[in-house]
Amino acid sequence: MATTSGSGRLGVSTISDARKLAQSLDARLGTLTQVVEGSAIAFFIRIRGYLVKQDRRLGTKQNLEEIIQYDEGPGDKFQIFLGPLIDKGQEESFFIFPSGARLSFSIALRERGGECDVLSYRFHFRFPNKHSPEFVRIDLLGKSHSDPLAEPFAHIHPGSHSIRLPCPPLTPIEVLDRVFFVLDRNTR
Amino acid sequence: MTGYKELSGFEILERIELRGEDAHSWIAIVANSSDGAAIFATELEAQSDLSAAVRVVDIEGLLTSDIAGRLRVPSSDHVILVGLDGRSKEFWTSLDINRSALERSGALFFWLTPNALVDLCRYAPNIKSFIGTAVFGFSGLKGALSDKKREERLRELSEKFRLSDADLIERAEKHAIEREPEFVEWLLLLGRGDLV
Repeated sequence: MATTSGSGRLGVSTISDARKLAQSLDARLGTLTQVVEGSAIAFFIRIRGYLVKQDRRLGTKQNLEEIIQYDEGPGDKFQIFLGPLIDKGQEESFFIFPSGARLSFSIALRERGGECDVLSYRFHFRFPNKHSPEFVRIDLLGKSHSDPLAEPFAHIHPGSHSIRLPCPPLTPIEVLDRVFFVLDRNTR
Repeated sequence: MTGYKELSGFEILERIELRGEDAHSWIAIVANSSDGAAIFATELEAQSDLSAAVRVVDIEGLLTSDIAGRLRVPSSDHVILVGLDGRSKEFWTSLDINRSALERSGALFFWLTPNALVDLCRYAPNIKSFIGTAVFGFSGLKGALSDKKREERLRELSEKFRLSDADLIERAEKHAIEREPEFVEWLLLLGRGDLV
């Protein structure tokens, strides 16, 4: 006999049950708040330094001082950008891998004393042409979505803009580690 | 030595080669104040392939004998010396004579105002010789988003979501938008961090 699964018993889940579980997961993941040490400017320099070292390792010699930018927003807000907002094709402002893959991202921070809260981010890794999936995107929302089943607080798009699978809220450096040492085929 | 190019910290680091263990680099960085030294230190630490740490050491008021002690432990990290402005001829002469006490395996950056560079060149010829052509003007941190780039991003956001800036702000004020990364970026670019 089918039973509802809200209490954790095995049985058929309704979408309502699934949404409740998704809310619970979102709440648990939301407690893993992302904080980075130091000022926002210092974090910008560290992110850029990370990419400098990867650029050296890959031998790609990109103009990182030009393509990685920051914006000191109003008050305590700060943003870091790599590449354009929308991927319209090969451009100089992406981080380009030897395979032809490319990376863009934006990160929003809030400074708080000697550290920063990570408010949200979007990392878009586009695989080389003819690869399936075409891209992987890793997002952190500013706060929980009204429907965490459809859009978890921290999620991965596995090559589809409408599919979002939950993941732990990684720090920006942890995301970059996945890009450079897991997604990029030269390193796998 | 007094002719030098103004470069960002990033550009300076692209130009200098920090040699590994058992060698040392002496570099002069010229800036109008020591405010940029911390930024440069962060840049150096972030880009350094070796796992050496970086210290900013303020030697204002210290005697040359004290300076050597501050550099020795540890001796393998990179050190940026600040507090060299307004020092006397006797200070520079003494530092020059005792320059071997400054030798270490980590790099040594002399953070100098233009006047301090002139004094170093005049009164510390051996240090000047060892630094050689490794003299750079520090122009600060590059990478701030230009107004043109900001406008470009705002235009892309508006086109992607088919909303005007005013529409977005109105919806955010009514708590009628989700906090997707693009909306957070958009609000911050508009200077409405209060809505995030």
